[in-house]
Amino acid sequence: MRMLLRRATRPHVVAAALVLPLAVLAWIGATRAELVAPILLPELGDVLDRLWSLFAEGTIRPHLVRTASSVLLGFAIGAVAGIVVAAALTSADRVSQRTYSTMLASLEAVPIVVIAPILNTLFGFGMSSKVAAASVSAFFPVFVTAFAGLSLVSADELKLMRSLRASRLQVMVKLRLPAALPAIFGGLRIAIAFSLVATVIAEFVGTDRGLGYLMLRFRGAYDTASMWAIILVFAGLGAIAFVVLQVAERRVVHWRR
Amino acid sequence: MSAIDSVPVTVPVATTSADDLVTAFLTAGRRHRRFRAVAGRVAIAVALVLGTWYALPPLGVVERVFLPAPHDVLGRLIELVQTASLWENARATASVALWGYAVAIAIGLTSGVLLGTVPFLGRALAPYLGALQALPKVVFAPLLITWLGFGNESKVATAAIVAMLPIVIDTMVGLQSCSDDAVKLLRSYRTSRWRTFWLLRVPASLPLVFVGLRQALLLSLAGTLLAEALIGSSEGLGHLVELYNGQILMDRAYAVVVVVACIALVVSVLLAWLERRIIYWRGHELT
Amino acid sequence: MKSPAAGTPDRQGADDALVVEDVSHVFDATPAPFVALDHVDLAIRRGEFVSLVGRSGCGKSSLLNIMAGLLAPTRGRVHLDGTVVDGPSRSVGMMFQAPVLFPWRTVLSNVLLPAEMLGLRKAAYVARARELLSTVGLSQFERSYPWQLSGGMQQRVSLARVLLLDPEILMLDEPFGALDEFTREALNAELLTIWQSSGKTVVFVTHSITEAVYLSDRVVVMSPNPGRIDRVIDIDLPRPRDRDVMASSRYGEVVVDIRGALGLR
Repeated sequence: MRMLLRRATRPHVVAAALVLPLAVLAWIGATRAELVAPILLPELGDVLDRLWSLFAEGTIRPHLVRTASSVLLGFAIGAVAGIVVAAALTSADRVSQRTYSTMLASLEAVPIVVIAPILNTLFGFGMSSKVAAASVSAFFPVFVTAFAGLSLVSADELKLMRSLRASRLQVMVKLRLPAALPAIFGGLRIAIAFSLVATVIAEFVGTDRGLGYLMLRFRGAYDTASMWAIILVFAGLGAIAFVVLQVAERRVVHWRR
Repeated sequence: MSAIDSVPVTVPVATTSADDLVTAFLTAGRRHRRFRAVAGRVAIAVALVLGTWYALPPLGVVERVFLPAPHDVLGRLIELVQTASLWENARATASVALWGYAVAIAIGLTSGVLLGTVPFLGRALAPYLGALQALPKVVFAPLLITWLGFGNESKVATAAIVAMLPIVIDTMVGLQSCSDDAVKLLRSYRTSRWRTFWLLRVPASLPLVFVGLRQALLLSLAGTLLAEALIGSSEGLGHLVELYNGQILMDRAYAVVVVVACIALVVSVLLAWLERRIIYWRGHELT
Repeated sequence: MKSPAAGTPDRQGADDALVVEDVSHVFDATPAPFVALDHVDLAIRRGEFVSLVGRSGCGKSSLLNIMAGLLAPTRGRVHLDGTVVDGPSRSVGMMFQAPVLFPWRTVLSNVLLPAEMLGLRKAAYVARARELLSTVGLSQFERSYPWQLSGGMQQRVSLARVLLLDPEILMLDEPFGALDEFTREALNAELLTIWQSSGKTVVFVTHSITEAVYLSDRVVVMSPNPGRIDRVIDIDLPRPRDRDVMASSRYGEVVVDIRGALGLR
């Protein structure tokens, strides 16, 4: 207990804990003193009111569900595809590996912003175009990290598997995949963030439902307080996703290489 | 240095491709057999993609209207590249993206240096930086447009906000990344903190700082394109895609996407090449 | 609980380069503070070659850092040439297990680093730097970069660097630990040559008993939990320590003696 107290009262921990209250105070102070244009930074009270009513009145529910499910579904599809393609590529010869991985990785440079409108046209304004955008965005980080992770096995480890007469599939499942897990989780963390961004962008570009839709509606009404409320919701979503992945990683990858 | 671990430095996902491409370009000529093997595989991949592309509409998966034939897209592309309007829009996008990048660098580098050299600040703010990484910065775009209007200011602001965070984090982590022994070595000569900063921390941080700078440029481009797409009456390649897409002129829309993709690729390779020149000791960092 | 006095302060004379006086050091750590050093006394004569050996955690590196003025002990003092150590000194040169060469600088530029750090005119030291590189056999690598050299060569550069300002005392923290056997032997021989021709005082931390016996006049055996000096053993083997000496029975006895002190069979 004393040790915990000692750690908790270290200067930077105290400072970190103070940042949030200080930020809140700064917000209130800036708006009261009219230091910032109200159109950019409304009163914190108003924002929290809107946030509360959005949830209390259930207005936000269908949109939150739509966005969250788009993100999750897109993330799942993209991540699985990333791992599968990476695994498939690992069994190819070296030249193929380098060629195809380079080609795939270079596709990543294309900003999802320009792909999104086209996905809307191809898949309609509904959920599928957002899921498509999210999957595309999630695919690349997972593919790159999975490919790198799966290639981590040393020659000695491969020799061991060979001496035990392991089949290709066994080598993949029992050796490469577990070894690649830390790297893959790193990729997953990035992928979920990318999926969220892609979904938001896709919704901004055009959608019938979702948090992005709400954001645009509020923008049309110049309702910045509600816009900030949505931003806070997004922050919450991001934080939840991050924490969930951290916990999942800790439970799955319970050894340190 | 321990709290820095809590801020996950985003993996430079775009770098592997650019690095490999640069290497491929530089070594392709010398190894003919290798080159043919690579070219062969590239050809297979391209053929597969094109084949699927051609095959989808007849198979009824999607209307031909929405997925024009590749040769049509190519034709439009060649047409467009010769028009002035495409290049004007490209210049508009580039100029906004570069301005946004400059702002992101100015604020990002300063903050990163501050957080990296004052350990107390770095450790105190690390968890919040991590939280900011999880928040998609693009959500600020509508807000910025509401505040700054429909002109270039909001586009530059969006680009800057989207691009800034990687610079801050990578600079901060980079400045802390030099080995303990190196710091001890300099301390044993009673080197001032100022000199230690310039002679050790800064060069040692360059690899990571460049990762941040590279990511930021692509992000700035993305932010610009988004702002252009969001603002109805504007210019730029993002706006063009929206425009053609809205009018279901898909061949033109795809053509512009190809243009954007090429720009993004060229920029990546260029930055990778620049990095290789500046950080000539790449791959042999002081750990 | 004072350790058996290894070189007690009352022996302090004008020919002592370093005197460690009742030094203790405690690291603030979780779950409990870690006692790295507990009432350590040691006196090192000018021109002596002393090795510190012991298991991991026995505090030998901490002791070295304290003697070099890089770490302030929680208790006790260190005297360097009669004055109390309160920070790094120009008369002390340090070398680490990792070469710690700046990869963005050439070999020559790395060797010149000490002069640069102290604000001295580089031009005045270039000749000496070149001379030192020649001594360690790396003249033609002057304009190479560290990563173009092997591990052993990098450590040689590191050795040249530490000698640039001709410090009276050398503190070496397992400098050859990361190298293969053969390179290590070669570098040990080079180190001895340099030591014998310069009359410097050397404090050498190592894991290897054979290395310690080969190099030193005295071996300080330390043990962990808490870190302290168990015994100081005089190496009365004749110099130069050539193959005959290494093959002698006396050598074997000394090694066994140290192994016993370390608790090994």
